Amino acid sequence: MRLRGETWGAWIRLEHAPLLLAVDHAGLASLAITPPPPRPGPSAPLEVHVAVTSQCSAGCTGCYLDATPGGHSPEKGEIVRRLEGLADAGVFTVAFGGGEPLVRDDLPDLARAARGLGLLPVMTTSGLGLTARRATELRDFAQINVSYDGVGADYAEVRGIDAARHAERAIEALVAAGVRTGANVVLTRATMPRAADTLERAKALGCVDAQLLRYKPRGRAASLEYLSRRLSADQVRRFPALLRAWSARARPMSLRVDCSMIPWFSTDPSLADAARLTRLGIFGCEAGGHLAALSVDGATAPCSFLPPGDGDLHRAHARAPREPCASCPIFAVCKGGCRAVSAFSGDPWAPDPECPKVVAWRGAAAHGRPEPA
Amino acid sequence: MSAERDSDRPEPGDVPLVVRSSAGANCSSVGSVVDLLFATAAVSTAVFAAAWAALAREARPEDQDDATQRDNNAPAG
Repeated sequence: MRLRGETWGAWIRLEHAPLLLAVDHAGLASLAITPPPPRPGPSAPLEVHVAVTSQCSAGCTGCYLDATPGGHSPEKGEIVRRLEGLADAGVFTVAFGGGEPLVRDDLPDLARAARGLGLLPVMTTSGLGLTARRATELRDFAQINVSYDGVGADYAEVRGIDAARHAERAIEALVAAGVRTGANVVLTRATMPRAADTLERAKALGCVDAQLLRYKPRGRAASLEYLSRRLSADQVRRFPALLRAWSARARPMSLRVDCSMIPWFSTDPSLADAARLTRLGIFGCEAGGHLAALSVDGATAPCSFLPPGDGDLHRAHARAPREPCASCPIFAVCKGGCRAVSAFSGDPWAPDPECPKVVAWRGAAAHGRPEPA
Repeated sequence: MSAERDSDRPEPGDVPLVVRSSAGANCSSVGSVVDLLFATAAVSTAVFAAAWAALAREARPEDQDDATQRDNNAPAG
């Protein structure tokens, strides 16, 4: 296991199970575990997203990085130096992305380098062009997620390219190679009605989990078209109930939601419990907290969707939320929703404008009615 | 890049044990497994007990010798 001492106890990543645990001092003492002392000063993120290239030829319409075929791929030595810095800081997981990481021939070397440094390497890929042989070379990754936004035409609806079958073949190749494989599923207004079918297909292909992702207005997706592609207010309202049904149907495949979807739990009485969400290790916006991102040129950002910065403003925002976040029972976890979405609306520090609680609060304020709790 | 601990920020240590399952594998956002949110209390209790038992196994003295060293995690799953 790998330990990181904190003022409240320790984060522990187990070696023989895909679990990250946070244990308080009493729990550590009961197991006679003595973590290293907390590092003085700032504490490192748990997870860092590492862009290993900005090159990609897929041309997806909603690419948040605006990756192109003429993108840049840093030398292997430079990536390894960045990994060494992250390991020294106490980071647990490095998530390789891009661009399309598969454009690099040295991915197996990078994965091994990460493991040698005590980091857990994972990766996201479109899977385009992934061969069975290449898949076997990627076994050092703890998990690889393939972007799989829908069955058949739904994939093309989200990404603007007709490559669902290519993604499916990539999943099959990775599973056959013994790589723990997941699916990343971006939900849009048009594809959400058939999300259950997408998840069913991902399970049939052998995915161990599927991560549901919110469509975000960054890169090529930052256009007025975003307004017609994001989920409708009614879809957001129904999301918790649908998530419950999808989770039951997907078993034994696990379902994950991305950090920007936590606001959608705020009006569901069965989910709006910050202590319970915390116990289950569910993260809302952790930009500048448990999460950071390294761009392809090595710049640090609070998350992959945000411009470079060290996260100070994000942490300050978390200390002084505006209403209705200030009185929301899950703000401690949610942290006010996705800053990238708020930024697109004109104010990066405003409450997430697509949160159902925020929508209701603003509606009431506009009509002069008492603000809903 | 680093996250400063704010005194008023809720910490995992506010509860005795936090269990965060699955390796993160998305390059653009943090994902969290939600299955236990919809599970019965009995199932949740069993999962927490299993996680604790797994921790106890890995915390045996012979394993703790390596605890603060960089490890070589086998691929999860």
